[in-house]
Amino acid sequence: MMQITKYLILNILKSRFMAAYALLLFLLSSGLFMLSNDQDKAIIGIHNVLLILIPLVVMIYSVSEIYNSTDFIRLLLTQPVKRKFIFFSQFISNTAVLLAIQLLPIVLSLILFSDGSYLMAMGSNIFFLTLIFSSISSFIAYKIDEKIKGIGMTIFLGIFFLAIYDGLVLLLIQAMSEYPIEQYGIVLCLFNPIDMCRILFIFKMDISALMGLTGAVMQKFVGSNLGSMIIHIVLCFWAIIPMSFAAKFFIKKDY
Amino acid sequence: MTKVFLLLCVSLTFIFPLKAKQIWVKPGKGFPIHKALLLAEPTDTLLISEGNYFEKNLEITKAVTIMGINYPTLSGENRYELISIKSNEVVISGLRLINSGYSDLEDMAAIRIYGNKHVIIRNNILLNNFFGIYLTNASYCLVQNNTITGPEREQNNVGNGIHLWKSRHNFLIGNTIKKHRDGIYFEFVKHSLIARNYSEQNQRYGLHFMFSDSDTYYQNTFMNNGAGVAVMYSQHVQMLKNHFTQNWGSSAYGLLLKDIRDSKVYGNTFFKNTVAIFMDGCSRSLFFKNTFELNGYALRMQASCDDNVFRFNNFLTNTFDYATNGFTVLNQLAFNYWDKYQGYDLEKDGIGDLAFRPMNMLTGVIEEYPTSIILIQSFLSDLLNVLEKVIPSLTPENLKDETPLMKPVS
Repeated sequence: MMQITKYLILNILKSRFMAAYALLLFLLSSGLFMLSNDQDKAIIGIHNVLLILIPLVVMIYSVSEIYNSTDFIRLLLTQPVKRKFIFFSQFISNTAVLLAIQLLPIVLSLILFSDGSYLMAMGSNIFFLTLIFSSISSFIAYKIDEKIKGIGMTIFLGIFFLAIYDGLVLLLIQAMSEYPIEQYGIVLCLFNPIDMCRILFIFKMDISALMGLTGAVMQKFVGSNLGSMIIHIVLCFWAIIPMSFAAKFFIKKDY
Repeated sequence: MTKVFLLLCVSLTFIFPLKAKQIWVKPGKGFPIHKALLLAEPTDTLLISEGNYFEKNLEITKAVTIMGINYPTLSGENRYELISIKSNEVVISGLRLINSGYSDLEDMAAIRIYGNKHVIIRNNILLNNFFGIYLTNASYCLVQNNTITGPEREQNNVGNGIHLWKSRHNFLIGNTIKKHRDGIYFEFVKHSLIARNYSEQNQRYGLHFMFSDSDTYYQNTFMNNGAGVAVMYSQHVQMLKNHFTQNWGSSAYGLLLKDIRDSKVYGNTFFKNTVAIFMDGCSRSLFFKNTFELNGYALRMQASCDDNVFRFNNFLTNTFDYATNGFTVLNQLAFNYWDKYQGYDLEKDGIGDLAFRPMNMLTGVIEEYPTSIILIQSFLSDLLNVLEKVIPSLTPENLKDETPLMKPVS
């Protein structure tokens, strides 16, 4: 398994796309720091960009990577290697490379241009987002055989988590505005990993004071040990459940 | 003739000079300052030498000057009001007053003036007192350069730093107030000047005044107070060149204006407050040349405000520039600089050609449905803001600055 993972990682790193993506991230975050006169505003800007960029890039890249390596997997399957190992080596190689490519430039620019106080929060959000969307995309790629359909599906899912879900939340809030729904806002966010990462970060940034009653209720939840534990456990579920389904599909798949 | 008379007067003053004694007081047994006060006559000066004094309550009924040398310490032993002034023309300076008593029934202070005129309180250090300096029914008094620090107790056991009640024509200049309940508290105070004071870390408001008309606030700094500054039920208030800084918290306001009329807010700086100015029921006031920087909300105006004029203000890097809960716009916004303005200026006259709408879609949605603030900083909210710019529907149609400036006002 280690051998296969190593070869896959080397293969991905050969592509020029990865280097370009890392450079883009670094230039973007450093540029925001230089343009903005306030460190906190720049960090919020970087985080907002990452929330949009990571899901889309991770999903589209890893889905197309899985489709492109179909021939290679067929070849591997002729060898006496367990299917489980092949699946995990592919998943790990994709995720690890994407994680490294995204973490390095952002962490570097944070260390260079800020006092490093949001390093942990930013790093954990990048980690969870990459892991979750990589596992969702492998779920889609093994479930749907046609490449075009699969990529279309990932793009739709990305947009769904980015905007459509929030729109539905807004509609729900509007419909339920007569009721005391402050404490359920956070529950709605648990069903969307992007929202969860955003909320976690907002409460690190002390914006919660702006948020009135809703903010106070949520601060109580997110600020408590139990609350942040629940959020992190749910984030882990978001990564593990699609991945285990993907593994099941891959093992049963007829190549 | 008049010249001769004048000469006579001058020479007489040399022959019979006004006899104002100096009485030295040293720490010792009994009540040395009390004894000296008995001996003193009006216009005399009591010079208090360095040391500790336990005088219980010191009641001053003569127009004397009490001057401390190297900050002698008077302690209230957590039981007594330290100095009660019950005479006109008293001067208190250079004392260190600590540990006044505190009670639920009486407002005990370090220095309290009971209905007198022309009292000067200057250069004192006040530490751990219930109330710091308390003026009741006083007029033409000067409170200058005192350093007032409150005790480390809960809010209901802490009084106000400088407390004025039903007073007129007073001057509060250059005082530093920390850790009290309200830094400066006014009730029914008229025609007073509050200048260059520094109010920090107070548990409730840095400055709090009610029913206090025609007062002027100049170059004060209010920083990191529990709830910022609150100004209520007053008219003809002038707030000039003050700094409202870092009043951050879910119920903190840089400046809370409630039922204020005919006032002027000019040249103030609002930096890092949750809400820089919160207005409710304010009318006919002018807001000129203020700078709002890095606040959560710069202006939060209830629909009950009317005829206020905002001109030449700078709005820089605030999360929300303007929020209101109504659709009728009765206030005037013109010639302000907004850092979020994206228009152009073809004539190069420094005024943008397109109107600026300071309230974005998300602010409107939040005002209507407060829970939707969970969508703050999300992709959807950015999308909605762009949409709203093109077709305004959820924000008031007339809420706009027709003449936004291209460059900040300096």
